[in-house]
Amino acid sequence: MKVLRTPDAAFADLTDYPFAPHYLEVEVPSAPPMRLHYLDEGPRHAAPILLLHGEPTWSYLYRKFVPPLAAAGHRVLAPDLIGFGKSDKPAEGADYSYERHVAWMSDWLTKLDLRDITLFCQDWGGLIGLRLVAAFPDRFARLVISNTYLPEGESIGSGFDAWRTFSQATPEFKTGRIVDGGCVRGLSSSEVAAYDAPFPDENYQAGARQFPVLVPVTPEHASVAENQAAWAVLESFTKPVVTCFGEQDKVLGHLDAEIQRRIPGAKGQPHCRIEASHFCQEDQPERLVDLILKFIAAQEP
Amino acid sequence: MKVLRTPDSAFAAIRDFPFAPHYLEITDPDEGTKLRVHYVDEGPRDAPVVLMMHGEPSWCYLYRHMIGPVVAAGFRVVAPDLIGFGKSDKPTKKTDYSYARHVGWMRQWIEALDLTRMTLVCQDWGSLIGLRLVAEMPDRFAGVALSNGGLPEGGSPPRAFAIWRAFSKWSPVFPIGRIVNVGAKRALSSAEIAAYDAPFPDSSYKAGARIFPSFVPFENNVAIPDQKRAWQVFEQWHKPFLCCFSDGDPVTRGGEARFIGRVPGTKGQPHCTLHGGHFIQENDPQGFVDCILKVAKL
Repeated sequence: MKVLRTPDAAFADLTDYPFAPHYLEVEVPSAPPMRLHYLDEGPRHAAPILLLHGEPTWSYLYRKFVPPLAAAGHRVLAPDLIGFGKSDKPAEGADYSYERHVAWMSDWLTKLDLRDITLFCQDWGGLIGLRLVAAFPDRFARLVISNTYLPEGESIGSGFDAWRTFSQATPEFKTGRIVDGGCVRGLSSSEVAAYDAPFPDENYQAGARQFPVLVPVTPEHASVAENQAAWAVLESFTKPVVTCFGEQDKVLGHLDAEIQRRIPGAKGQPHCRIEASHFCQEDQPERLVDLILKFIAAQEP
Repeated sequence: MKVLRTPDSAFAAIRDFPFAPHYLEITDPDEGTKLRVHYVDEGPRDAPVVLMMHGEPSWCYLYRHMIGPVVAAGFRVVAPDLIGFGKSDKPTKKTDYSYARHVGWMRQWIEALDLTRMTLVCQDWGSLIGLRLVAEMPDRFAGVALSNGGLPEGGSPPRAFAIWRAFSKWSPVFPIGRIVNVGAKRALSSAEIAAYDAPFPDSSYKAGARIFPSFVPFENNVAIPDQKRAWQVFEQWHKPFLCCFSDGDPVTRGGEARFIGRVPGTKGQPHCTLHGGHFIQENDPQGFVDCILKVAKL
């Protein structure tokens, strides 16, 4: 397996991402060790808030979350998925699978031995993060879920189908422009460049290109059985779960009702829809930080 | 420009700030809005002036332990509240503020009071604004005592500052008193924390405090040409310039290296390192006073 590493110089121009890099080597069967990059701010002994990004972003997506959450006394962790951000990037699309992503993040989570976690997840951050919850339910204290779902081989709507078709057909996969298109507000040119930064050329984009076809939206997809098994755990998960979806997310914004219905811990929680598109972290960072802090505070003794 | 004025009652419970309020009205040169500047003015009117300038997100309450000793040494102490802070008026929109406007507002205030023979005492934004005032009106100033501040002219911000700037932009809450408490490296009393919160009855008063970190001229900020011009003045500045930074301020620690040697007036001065955090006035007010009295001359 050929593995690429984005040179540090590619990130040199970022002015709004002042966080120290942390690295951990993750290992899964039948793949070489990978260097996984993550942010780790705030007091080490505090209960962690885990911020999981999805397609085609990286921890830069959470740059406006980390300082206020850390200042509120929490440990804040934001990893880059393998294939994204400052983490290593296998060069072939076939190097990536849903199960491998879950395994990479499971290895990271257990090596850091994170416990009492508050999870915030969006997009693939949910497809992977909710699988982590199902695999290690005792490590998670509460979940904040935005613009994501855990499909079991069923269609999740024509918006996603259109995106998947585009992602495979487009000759150039312009990451920054794609993120910009998934926001209500317009990103600045430097923000667009920051989303392009992990991918100096298309060789680095195999993981980003592959993600849409890994979503199990037909019975023939891989990981259908694994997601069904995960749902069985989630359907008995009674710790607090709140959804906060974007009104303007045409791809996944309609899936909050199923999560609320199926996870027992979601009952009676202050679910909301906000004025945001798919990348709600860009549209409403202050609102979401406020929601996370209040959600945690509401359950403190 | 819509302007708020913190009601006097917000300050009524403060017990450790016995100084009479003084007010001067200035006019914003762009929009013609009248803005009331509050300042402390203690000591003999004909004595040399020690000008104490506070920064983000404090007000002249920060200098409450230093005003008395400097007056007792024979000086007139003048300590203004920047526009948007303390008992001064507070425009409500972030876009009402800019670095250049802050300098212009305070220049107008100094010229109206016709302050001369001044020793600038400054920290944080008090130095970003105060040093620009020195550069624009060098004849009005006799010396500088600088702590925990500077005159940035581009480049990368320290990591601790960049995180603070992101916090100031994106935090849903902006708890002024607790922010000072964290930066003071000692546990402020609840009354002191309340005194730092007092100027801001609610978030609508905080536009000036919220935007200040974004104005610090790092990277390719709009103010960098102004900063370079100010530095040209300081590279020819021979009057006393003393640095007394803190050892425990993650944002400005070591910042004296940008002044000592480059500003001719730093030569032969008894520069020192004070023990404390960003708000050294809360940690070692007497140490800061001792430094001032080494620069200011009766």
